[in-house]
Order: sequence, then structure tokens, then C-alpha cells
Amino acid sequence: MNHHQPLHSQSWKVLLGCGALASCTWAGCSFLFDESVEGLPLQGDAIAPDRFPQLGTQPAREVYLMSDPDGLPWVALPEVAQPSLVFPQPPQSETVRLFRLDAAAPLDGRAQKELRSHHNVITSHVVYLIEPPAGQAGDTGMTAEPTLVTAFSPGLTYSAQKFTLPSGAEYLLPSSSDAAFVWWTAKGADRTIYLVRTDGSYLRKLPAPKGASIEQVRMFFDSSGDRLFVQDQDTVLTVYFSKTEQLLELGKQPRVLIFAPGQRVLLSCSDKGVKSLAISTATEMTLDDAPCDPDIFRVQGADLYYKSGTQLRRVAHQGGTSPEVVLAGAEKEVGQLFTLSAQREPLYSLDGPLRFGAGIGGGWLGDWQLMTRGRRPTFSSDGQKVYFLENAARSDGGGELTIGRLAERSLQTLARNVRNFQVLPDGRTLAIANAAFRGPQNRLIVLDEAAQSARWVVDSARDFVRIPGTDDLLVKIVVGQNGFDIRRVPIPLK
Amino acid sequence: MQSRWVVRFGLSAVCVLLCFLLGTVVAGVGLAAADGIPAALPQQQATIDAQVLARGSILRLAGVTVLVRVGEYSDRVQTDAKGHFVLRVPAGLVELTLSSPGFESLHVQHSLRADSVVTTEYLLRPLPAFRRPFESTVRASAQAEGQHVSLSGEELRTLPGSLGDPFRAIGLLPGVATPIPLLPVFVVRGASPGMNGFFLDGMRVPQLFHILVGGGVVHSRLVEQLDFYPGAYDASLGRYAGGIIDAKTRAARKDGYHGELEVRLFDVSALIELPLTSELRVTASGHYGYPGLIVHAIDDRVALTYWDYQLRVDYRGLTVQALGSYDSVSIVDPRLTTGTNMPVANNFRQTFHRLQARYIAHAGRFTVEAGAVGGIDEMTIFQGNGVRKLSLNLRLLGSARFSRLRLRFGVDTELSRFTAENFATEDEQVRARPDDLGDLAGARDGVVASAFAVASYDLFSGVTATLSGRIDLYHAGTTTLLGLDPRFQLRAQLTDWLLIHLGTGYYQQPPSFPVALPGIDTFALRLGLQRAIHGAVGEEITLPANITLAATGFFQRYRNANDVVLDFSPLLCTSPPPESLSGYPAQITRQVAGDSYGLELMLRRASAKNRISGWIAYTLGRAERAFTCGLRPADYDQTHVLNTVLQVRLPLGLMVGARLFLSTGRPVTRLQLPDGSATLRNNERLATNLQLDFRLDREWLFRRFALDVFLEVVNATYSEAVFGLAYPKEGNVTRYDMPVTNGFRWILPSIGVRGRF
Repeated sequence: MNHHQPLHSQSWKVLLGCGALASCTWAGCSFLFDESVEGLPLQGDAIAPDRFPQLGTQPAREVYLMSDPDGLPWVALPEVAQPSLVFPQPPQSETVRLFRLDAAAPLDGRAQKELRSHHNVITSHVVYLIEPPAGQAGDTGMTAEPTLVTAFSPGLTYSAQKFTLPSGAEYLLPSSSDAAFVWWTAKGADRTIYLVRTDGSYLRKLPAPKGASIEQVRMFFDSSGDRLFVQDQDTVLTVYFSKTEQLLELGKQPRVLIFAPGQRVLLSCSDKGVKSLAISTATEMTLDDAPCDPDIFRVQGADLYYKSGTQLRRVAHQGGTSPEVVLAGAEKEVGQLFTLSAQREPLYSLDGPLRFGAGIGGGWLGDWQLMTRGRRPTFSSDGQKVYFLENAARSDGGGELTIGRLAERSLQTLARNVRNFQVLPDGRTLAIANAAFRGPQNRLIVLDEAAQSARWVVDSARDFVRIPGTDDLLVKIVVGQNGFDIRRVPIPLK
Repeated sequence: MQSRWVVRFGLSAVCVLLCFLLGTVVAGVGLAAADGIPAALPQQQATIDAQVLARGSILRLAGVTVLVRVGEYSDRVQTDAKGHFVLRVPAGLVELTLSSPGFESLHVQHSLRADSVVTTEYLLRPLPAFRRPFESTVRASAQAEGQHVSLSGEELRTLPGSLGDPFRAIGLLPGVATPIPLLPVFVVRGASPGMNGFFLDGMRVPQLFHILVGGGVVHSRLVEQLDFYPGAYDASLGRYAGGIIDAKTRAARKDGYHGELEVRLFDVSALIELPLTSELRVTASGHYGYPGLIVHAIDDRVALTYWDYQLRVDYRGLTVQALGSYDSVSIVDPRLTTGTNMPVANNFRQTFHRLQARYIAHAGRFTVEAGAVGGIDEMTIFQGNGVRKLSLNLRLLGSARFSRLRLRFGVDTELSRFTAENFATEDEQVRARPDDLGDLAGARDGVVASAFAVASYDLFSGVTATLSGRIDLYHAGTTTLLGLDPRFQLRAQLTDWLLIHLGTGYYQQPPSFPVALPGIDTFALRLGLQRAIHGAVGEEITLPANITLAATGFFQRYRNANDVVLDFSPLLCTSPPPESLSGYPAQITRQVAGDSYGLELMLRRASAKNRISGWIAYTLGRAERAFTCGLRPADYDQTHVLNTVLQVRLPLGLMVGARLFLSTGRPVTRLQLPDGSATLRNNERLATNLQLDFRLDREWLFRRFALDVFLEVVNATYSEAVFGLAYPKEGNVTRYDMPVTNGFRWILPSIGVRGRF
């Protein structure tokens, strides 16, 4: 048949049929069958951040919880520098705003404070306001002009102790108690180490240790801030007291050192074994002469846990007992010790800290692998559950919040893309979820495992911290390209 | 009256008969003379024993007509299958004329003495393509219905601005925008670049291009034809929601051995064709790139390497192909250090290998094609983290042609296994962050299965309606997706010079990475299928002087499309990221709805038939996306895109070409003070792009080989490649009020030499 024949009636029917079928084109469809579990279902509508009071009016770049000498909670909020259309640009200046957070905070303005300086360092008790000399040329610090450091302690009757210290790229090391700090301009004209009592009661100058830079020298305080430990590049350890000119020479010591409880003894880990060193007498005691691998070296109660060869071992840090093999690591080497259960059962990893990063790896309890590239395992208060972030070997620090139930050896995903979580005493869990990256899609939710549901706390939340002594949270709310609004948000009632 | 007609008819019949007889006699005499049947061959004779070859090759020409004249004597012979002939001619001044279709005729004279034997060879010079009476190669016609552009032959490899790469020619066609300078990233009719599909001889390949200047992953001379379907095509092409690039390679030529070697500033390539028997033919080819020498001169922290290979064996209906590609970019990042505090290199590597066996059988009106493809894909992002995909693809295609009906059907399936890997070498050991790859790196087994049916019916003279549909199933982990795509096309050749076509349909695709990469597919199925509705209507007018004018209007609607956030500013008025994604995919992927619409014009003069050829391709288009702040231009919307390509063949084997590219600048988002939160996405545009490219080819034909020298200058105008906006820092203050363009001026010269036989 010649297919170029003229149109005949049959073709019209076909054409009409094609037209009808063509209309079906718009009826294309797709189906999704999904049996995966995304986490606990999130109920209710998003809760807008503006329902909660904001601290300050400008976006902050970080939240630092502090306490005043009376133990009352404060927060320091360093503000995000705003672009300025004024030319020439004004001198660099950072603003920190302080707010007292307890319910009894007075309303007369004394519970707030604004601090300005060139730059600052904020710790638990002190804001260090640093004012280099005007026009100082960056990090070179080759100037005789001093830098003014003000140690500001919050409080209704605040204290602000001023210090005049050498200029240059500073290394400021506060003690955890903020009783003392170290000021060292290692590359400046004056390389002296200044050991300073924060209250201004004492200042001593220490000779620069052997070592060209701070990377080659190790310094740490004890928790009281009364003693500064300096280990030079030859590993010679010296103890300097911050209230007197006293010093102790402890000789060459391994690089890996931790305090035993009470902080009268240092514990060391090296290929020569595990040793304890009495600080006051420099008396050394060998706890285990087997080579020690610093990948695992931690004190838990009366015991010191450490890695030796492929084994995880345990020994009483006060001595007097023989080392005990906790995990033989016969087939695979124990890589990290994450935590211990109430029954002292180790939650460990076969992945070393260099594989995915310290604190990240597959997690095992006995022969049960409950974590895959997980991080932050946390036992519940009753010790029957473990919360952790699964699939967390990623740069954003997040993971899938997962719960492992020890009795049933079962796992459940609670929420995805969680970057921070906290288990509340009532068994619920606060979590920053949907947070694969910083953005307004981030949210703070509360997960109720018993009810198998999740509720909104506040939308656009990037992080949170609980205010000590209260049932409130300080929440970072994403705004703009930089910085956060800080809002005070109550923990929802159960 | 009747008898008079009888007489006239009879006389006419007699006349016709006489004329026929007379003509036959004259013709017979003429033919006898032409055939050189001399009355008598003189006693003094000489012999010519000769071989005829094509100049510039080792190709022996069969069937060449050799006409000999010596005074009144003439004779004619033809070369045998090996290009050989022997002539006994009278001694004296002998004139030979050798002629063969596709070659210039050769006239030679010999003065031959009696009883002499001349052993010689004659070299025929090939005609340029536009002077050849017909193409000796039968090119494959496009299989699928729907408006498309086909490119083939020398045009594919000599287009100015394409660096000799057939696939880059896509960027010169209407409907295509190239939003990122230098990179072969194509946006077809406003769809995301990840929505485009690449097919090579029926195989799905993850990439067609090497990185940066590397060109195509297949040797350019192996590519026989490129069909580009910008949209509204039939259901035989599926699993993509955007345009389709369908490339076909060719078997080794039957006429003899061929080979070539091409050396450019930044790579070397080779190809060899071996017709081992009349039925068994082998082709092998490959590239090796060393652009690192050039890149190092610009920035010594960057190293770049690429290579590819292809092997094709044809035996009767069976074709076995092996091909693969490798790209590596290494950037030393001083921020990353190993335990020895030495800077380490960030490496990006992408590799794929394919092995395909395909059999095509014809039986009457039926044709069946069966194929099996095994594949390995690997992709490594920085720090050694990456993904490996092993796949097996099986397909069966069939077609049947009846008087007015053509049926095509096909089924195919792909079984794949994806695993996260760390490909870092000893020197690159850094902490691995495999979960940065999110769902891309999740270990999973994937199953994809598809079926389609296409029916084309000739409604009446020159008018063909095509109705088709396909069903696609995707499964990985605990998720299964099913898509049903009906489609319709109508093609009407209303006159010799006017063709009307229209098409519409539903086009669905599983979640895709914004740019096609090896090993990145069948992931995050929980996002659901990307959906598009295509609609296009156009006409093609054949004008005098081998010129065609095509105009097409299109409208495409996207739902659930996986766009990329080009400026990596995820806060600014983009759609929320998919909650089920994590890592990098969550950061850069957005599911958005949008539309694109526009008009494409193409005025083209084909190169195969003309000394002067080229085209003017113009696209007036708009691509929009429904962002959270409203309907805004898509990140790669370019209102006007103009490509003008001109090629002129000059005497002395010269060919010159130029390309003028002009396009509206891409939209960018300029942050609004004070904190950017009130910023509307894509509130400004980058400057208009202007680019002028030149190419000059010169060919020398030697006896056994040919030498081509080509010079190409891409972006001779030294225009700036602008990638976006950046904000300078003054101290710790970012000057959002002082945006600067982020880009650089560039020019890319390329000179190369190609030897072939």
C-alpha cells in the first residue's frame, strides 16, 4: 500500500484517536513506595523564633555562658561586626554584651553590660578585653608600646583588672578556674612568659622555654590555676606556681600527660609504658611497663584505661594492682574508647582516631556493633540506652540521632541531620535537626521516645545551650549571612 | 476518424521502433569505441603495470576507471579489488585518465618504447566533502521521533570554538545555554544540567567530557553522528527530564587500513582502523592529556591529567565495545596537613569503564537489537572519599515496519552496586569524611527497569503521528519509584520545503546530582521523581542554496526538579534543602518547581554540500524557579543566546572558521544590606558574554599520508570569564556593599598536528 495516499476516513479516526491519547500525555504520573524510617514524626506547626524574647538587638556570632563570683549565670554575646558605609573605616572594634540570666536579675540595668575592645577572649568567668597599641602592625608585634589587657568579671559589682603586657601576636591561656592566665608573645620583641593572677594579686615572669614557637611548647594549668606546667621542645617539664616564685623541675617526661584525680599526680603514656609521677616529689612509679599507645589514655574513676598493642588495658592509677586486659583485640585492633557504661563495659571503636577523626568511628559494645561512623555516644541515666549520632564522619559535625537499646540490641533513628542534642532528665531529648548546613531550615525539636513523636521547640535554630539552674535555653536563631539572634526559649513541658 | 487515429498510432509506433533500433546501433558503436576495442593493436607494444591509491593514505582504490589513449588507439580498464591494473598499449605517447567517484580525475602521460614495461603507481586526490557526488558512508538516521539536530562528518570536528571535540558542538546549538565559562556544562531549555542524558551507542555514560579543556571522552574521529534532542522526544529515550545527546560511533572503514596520530599542546590522541576481513573490523583509539604543563604555568598548585580509550570490534551484526575515561585534578591545599605537617593534595578523580556487546539482526520488516553492558564508575572528591559503582545493563530493542505503521519497543534493566570508598593513596592520607557525600556514598544495591513502546503512524501523505509511552522503575534500599511517561509527536512534511513538527509529553527522572558524574545515580530516591512536561512546536523551511531555517517554540514545566545552588549561598531565597539528604548533596541540591519557555531559531547551511557553511542559532528564552521569595529567574537563565558559526573552504586545502558567541549574563544574587536576609534571589545579572573563536585548518596530502595543521584560538576577544560575585574583606568586616565580580580574563590557543593514512 502506498502510504502517501490521500486522506481517507480511516485516517481521521486514527487522528482523533491520537488526539485523545495525546491528551493522556498530561496524565503522566509517578509513585513513591518508601519503607525507610526518617525519624520520629514531627508534630504541629513550626514555632517562629519571634515568639521568644531576644537578648540584645544585634546578631551575635557566639554564645558564652559565664558565671559571676556568686555563681549566678551570665551570658556573653560578642556581636557580629556590621558593614559600615563610613569612610575611612573606623578602627577595628568588637562589642560584647553581657546579660545576667537568673530569674532574680535586677531590672535596673545592672544585669546588662556592654564592653568594647579591639578584640577579646571569653572564658567561663572572665572577658579578656585586649587593646593593642594604636596602629600596631599586625602580628609582628615589634613595638615597645604595650598592650592593655582588661580582665572583666561580670557581676552586679563587677571587677575589671587592668594589665599592661607586651605587644605582639599573643598566646593567652586562661586556667579553667580563671584564677590565672598566661600571656606570651612568642614572636614579639619581649618573649618573656607572663604568668598573671587574674585578680592582679601576683605576676611573675618566666623565661621563654626552649622552643621556637608555641607549637613546640606545651603549657597547661591545674584546675585551680595555682600551678602552670611548661614542657619545652626537649620534653623537659617545669612547674611554675602562680602565687609565688616557686618552681619544680620534673625532668624529661613523655608528651602524653594527664592528671590523676586530685591533681597531685601526673600519668604518662609512652612506649616505655604507663607511669605515674608525683608532682611534689617527682617520684615516678611504673603502672605497666608494656608500651602505651596514646590513642587511648583516659582516667575513669579509679582506673586508668589505655591502649597497648592491640589491647585495651586497665590499671588502678594509684598503683598497687596488676594491669588488666579489658579487650584483647585479637582479631582487630581497638582504635578508640568512647565511653564506659555504668557497669564499666567499654563502648569502643575499631577505627583509630586518624581514620575519621577523633571521637568518630564504628561503635561496639562487646560483640554488638551499634554505631557506624558514629560520634558522641551518651548513655542514658539508667544505662539501658545509648544515644549517638550515626553516619557522622562529616565536616558539618552532624549525624542521624539514633538510640540503641541495650536489652533488645535494637536501633532506632530519632532525627536526621542532628548537630547537637541533649538528653533531658525526663527522658526526652532536645535536638537541633534538619541541620546539614547552616540555614533557616535548622530547627530545635524535642523528641519523646516514649510517645514516639517529636515536637517543635523553635524554628531556624542552629544551636542551643541550657541556662544552668533554669528550665530555659539560649538558642541561636539563624539570621542573615552571619551571626545569630539569641533568644531565650523555655523547654516545653512534657 | 478512428482509422486515422490507428494510422497515426501505427506511424508513431514505427517511428519509435526505428529510433530505438537506430539508437541502439549508435550506442553500441559508441560503447564499442569507448570500450576500446581497437580494430587492431599495433605490433609495437608496451605494458603498464600500475597500482592506484588514494593520495595521503595506503588505501588501494578498486573500481577506478582507467582510460588510455595513444593516438587513435584507446582502451578502458578498471582496477581490480586491490587497486591494480595491467594495460598493453601501443608504444608512443600514452595518455591515461584515471577517475573514480569522490576523487579528482588524474591525467598522466607516458612516452613508452616498444616492449617496455612500466611499473608505477598513481595517486588520486580525494575531493573535499562538499564536492563529492555522494557520501560513501551511509549515516544512521536518528532513531527517535521529535525535533532534533543531527551533526555528522567533518563538521563535527572542525567547528571553531569546539577544540575539535564533537560533543562541545552541542553548546553551539539553539536551546542550549552554557552558564559557566570554560566548562562544558549545558543548560538545555532551562532544565538543570543534571537532567541531560548522554547516550553513546545505546549505552548510558555518566560523562561526555573530560575536565576543563580535555574535550570529549571518545576520540573525535570515532564519532560518526551526534543527535541532539532538546525536548519533546518520544518515549524510546527516557529516564531523563531534560535534553538528550545521543552519539553514535562508527565501525572501521572497509576500504583498508587507516590510522592517525594527533598532537596538540595539551594532549595526544591516536586512532587505528583495521578491517581484518571483510566482516571482521577493529577500531582502537584513545587520548592522553597533559594539560598540567600549561596549568602549572598558571598555578603550580594545580595538576591535571586525563586519558580515555576505545576499542570496537564489529563482526556481522555483533559489535563489542570497550571504552573508558579517567580525569584527575589535584590541588595542593596548604590548610590540610599530614602528620608530617606537609601540605597534602586534594584530589578529584572520576573514572568510568564500559564493556558492551550488542547484536543487531534484521529479518524482513523486523529488526532486533540486544545489548549487554558492564560498567565500573568511580568518583573521588577531595580527601580521597568517593564512591564506586558496578553495574550490569541488559536491553532488548525491536522495531517493525508495516505499510503505514512503524512500531518500536524496548526493555532494559540495570543492576548496580554502590559502595563508599576511600581512594586516597599513601601520600594523600588525611582523615576521611565519607559521610560528607551523604546519600551519594551510601552502600546500596540499585535496580532500574524500563520498558517503552512507540507507534508511528503515517496518517496521510507526509504526516506522521507518534504515540509512545514508557514505564520506569527504580529501587534502592527501602525505596521504590515508579514513573509512567506518555508522549506524543506529530511530524508533517506539508510541502517539499515546509516541515511542521510538534510534540508534548511527560518526562521523569530519578533524583540526580546537579552535574552528571560517574557513580552518582540511583540515590536519595526518597526525594521522588523529577517531573517535567515538555511541549514544543516548530517548523523547518528549506530555502534555496541548501539553507534551512528552523523555528521552534517551547514550553517546559518542572516539578520536584533537582537544581544546583550555583553561588553556594544556601541562605538566600532558595527552596529549603531536602530533609532526607545530608552532606554536600543537601548543601547544593534544591527541589524546586519552575517553568521555561522560549523561541529557538536556526538558519543553517550544511557543510557537506557547500564551500561556505555554518549557522546562526539564536535562543530567546526564560527559565524561572519558584523560590521561597517568589518566582525568580533560574540561576542559569540567559535571555538571549546567539551562536554564529561560519566555515569557509578555501583552495590549497585551507579551511577557516569563526564563531561569535553572545549571551545575556547569568543572574546573580547581590546581598542586600544590612544582613542579606531581605535579599531577593537573582536580583542582578552578570555582564553580557561575548566570545569570538577562530580556527584555521590546512591539509597537505603526501603520497602515503596526510598532514593537517590546525590553529584554534578560543576567546580571541580575551573576554572575562565571570563566575559570580565576591565580597571583599576589610579587617574583620565583609564589604557586602562593595561586590566585585569573581572571574578572570582568558584566552585559549590551541595548535595541533594530525598525521593520518
